[in-house]
Amino acid sequence: MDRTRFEITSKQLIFIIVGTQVATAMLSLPRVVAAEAGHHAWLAVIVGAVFPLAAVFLIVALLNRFRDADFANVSHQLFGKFLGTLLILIFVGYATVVQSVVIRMFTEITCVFILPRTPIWAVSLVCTLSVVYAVSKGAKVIGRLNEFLFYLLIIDLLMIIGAGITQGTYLNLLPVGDVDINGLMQGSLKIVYAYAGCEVLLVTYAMVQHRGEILKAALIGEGITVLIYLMIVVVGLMVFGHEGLQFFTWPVVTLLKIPYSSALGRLELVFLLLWVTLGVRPIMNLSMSASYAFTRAFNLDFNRYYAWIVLGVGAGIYVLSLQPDNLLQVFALADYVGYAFIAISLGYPLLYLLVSVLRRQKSL
Amino acid sequence: MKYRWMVIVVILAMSTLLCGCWDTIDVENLDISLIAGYDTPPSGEAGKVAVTALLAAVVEEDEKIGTYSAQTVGETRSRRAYNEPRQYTLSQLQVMLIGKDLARQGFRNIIDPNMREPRVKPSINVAVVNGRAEELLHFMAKKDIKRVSDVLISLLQIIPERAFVPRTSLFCLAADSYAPGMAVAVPVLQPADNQQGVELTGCALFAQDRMIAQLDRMETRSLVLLSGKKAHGWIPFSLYKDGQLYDEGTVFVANQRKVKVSRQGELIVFDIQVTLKGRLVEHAVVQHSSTLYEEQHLREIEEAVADDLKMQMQDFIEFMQEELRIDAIDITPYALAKWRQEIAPQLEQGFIEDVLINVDVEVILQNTGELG
Repeated sequence: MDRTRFEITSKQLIFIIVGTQVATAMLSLPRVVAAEAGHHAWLAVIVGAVFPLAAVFLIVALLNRFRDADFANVSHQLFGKFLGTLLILIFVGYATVVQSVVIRMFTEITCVFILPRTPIWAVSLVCTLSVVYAVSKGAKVIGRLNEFLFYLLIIDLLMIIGAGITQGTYLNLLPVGDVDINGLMQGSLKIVYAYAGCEVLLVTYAMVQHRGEILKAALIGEGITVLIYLMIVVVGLMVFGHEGLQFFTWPVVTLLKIPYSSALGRLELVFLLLWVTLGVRPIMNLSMSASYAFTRAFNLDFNRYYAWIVLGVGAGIYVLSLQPDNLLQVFALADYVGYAFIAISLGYPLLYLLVSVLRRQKSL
Repeated sequence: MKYRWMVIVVILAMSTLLCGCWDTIDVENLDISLIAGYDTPPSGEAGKVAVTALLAAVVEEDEKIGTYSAQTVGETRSRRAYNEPRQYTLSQLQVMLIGKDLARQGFRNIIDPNMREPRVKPSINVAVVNGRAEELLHFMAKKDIKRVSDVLISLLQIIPERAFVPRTSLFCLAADSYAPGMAVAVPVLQPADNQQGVELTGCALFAQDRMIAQLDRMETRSLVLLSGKKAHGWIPFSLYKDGQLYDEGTVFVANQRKVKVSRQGELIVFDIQVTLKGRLVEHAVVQHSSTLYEEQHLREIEEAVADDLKMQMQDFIEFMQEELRIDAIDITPYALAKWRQEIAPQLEQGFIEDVLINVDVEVILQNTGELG
């Protein structure tokens, strides 16, 4: 195996974590959170960040205990060949389902705003093929792509902030006190889907060149994600208010349609044209993680089988993405993905850590 | 080599799937709607709504106007599909006109299809027509069919740069008019008195989904100043001394607003500070030699403008609290920002009529130009 194809820098890890988390979910995020947490939705973003942060700490604590921190290797060491492989396959299955939801949401948004007459299967297929091609090139290419696309994300974010400042009012965020704790907690749970993605660290940990920098990089990545979500939710609240947000399926896109733009005409189309490239990042990152984990689980030759496995994972994502009948089903699935994320990102490292401590497998 | 060929095959396969293939349409095959007018159906016609579309001149030299009546907006699009050879598109819609009768009945049935349609920009400007939208468009077309859309689009877009009339987008109308206890102001258009074009007569107020009042230009100015909507405009003034007119003229000012909210026991008190900054455009000293270069005289003009406007604004506040009984000047959010849980449930039952609203006006003028 050409190891260098699967080596990334800690800087690229930051962008991979941000890229896996910040994509389609951000477009509906203010509505989803405000439905539960009201004008304290921004607070729910911060509280909700506890889940991915805990996941990062647990994953790093777990994998730091192993000299060879490869996810497949750790699974086999702790659980034996059969159970370890089964756990890896569950992870691969989870990643595939998450990707199918993301790709379907991506497709729906593309069809609603840009290509209304194009069938869902066509948009989904073109997207999947692009992802398969990029993923087949290995983690290094994915890392570089994430870094490049992150800078495009900044342009999109600046557009959102600009629209928020010109169209919104801070009054919609007040008063800061009188917090409805129940609503806040519900909102924090709802946002968990948007934080799905940090579990790629289970696989990418072993790819990072300098192990000492992993925790710092992962925390920076999480911090950037929280900051982006916080900004988006604050802007959404400022422009629409927490009740107004409920009228729009993708309030972030709608808010770009509100300012009059004489030069660009339709601000939301400029945003979406950039976003089309950003929306595929989680699919790329999770697809790469799933394919890598699968290849390692069966100890297959990367040069011979990796590209085919990527294609297989891609086919799985594509078929699953066509299963929901409508957008409401996709949103319902997204809720389940949020719960699955908690189970995988917190459950896996907790289970592994527990077994590791019990078996005293500290291979230093 | 084999791998490279595979990549080429994949790229070729992808190119056949280029998504634009499904969505491509020649511009000659489009009916591009620039202005949409919504009315009650003309007498004798069935249905609930009549939609008049002003279509861009793409193949023809002139813009085209067509009206279809039906039960719903969607149904008018369906009727159009049976009659017109081209595909109707709303992606370039710039102005939405609502006839007065329909505005009074309620506009819920026209907001929903337009806000739902992703191709319609919520930033398009909305105006009420004092009469029928269809008739206004035909009237304008008779005068100069090539410029109907230009005139309406520009007039509504830049009106706040020249007069104290609000610019209202589809989004504002949809969002603010459904906010409990709040009203939204929409400019009102009609054929000009001299029959040479169109004019803005003031604004109409909408609460929930229907028009509840129509304001003249002076009331509209008070509303704009009190609500803090950014605008510029000319304001005339007259100075009196010992009951005698001693100077008159015009100032050109831009407005700002600050709102403070406090409580005196149970009573909620709003203090609105309106600041107008601008320049003296003209003045005519009637009984006095020119002393304009003296600061004192400029201060007198400032005070005269401020006093006039303050009185008009107080009248408007009284009208709003006693007759409209709804917040048309966008001050409720300031109270919500402090006491949201307590006030939000009251908004439906009435809130604005029970508060105290104080207004203060400050005018700051500069004596610019070449004359002293």
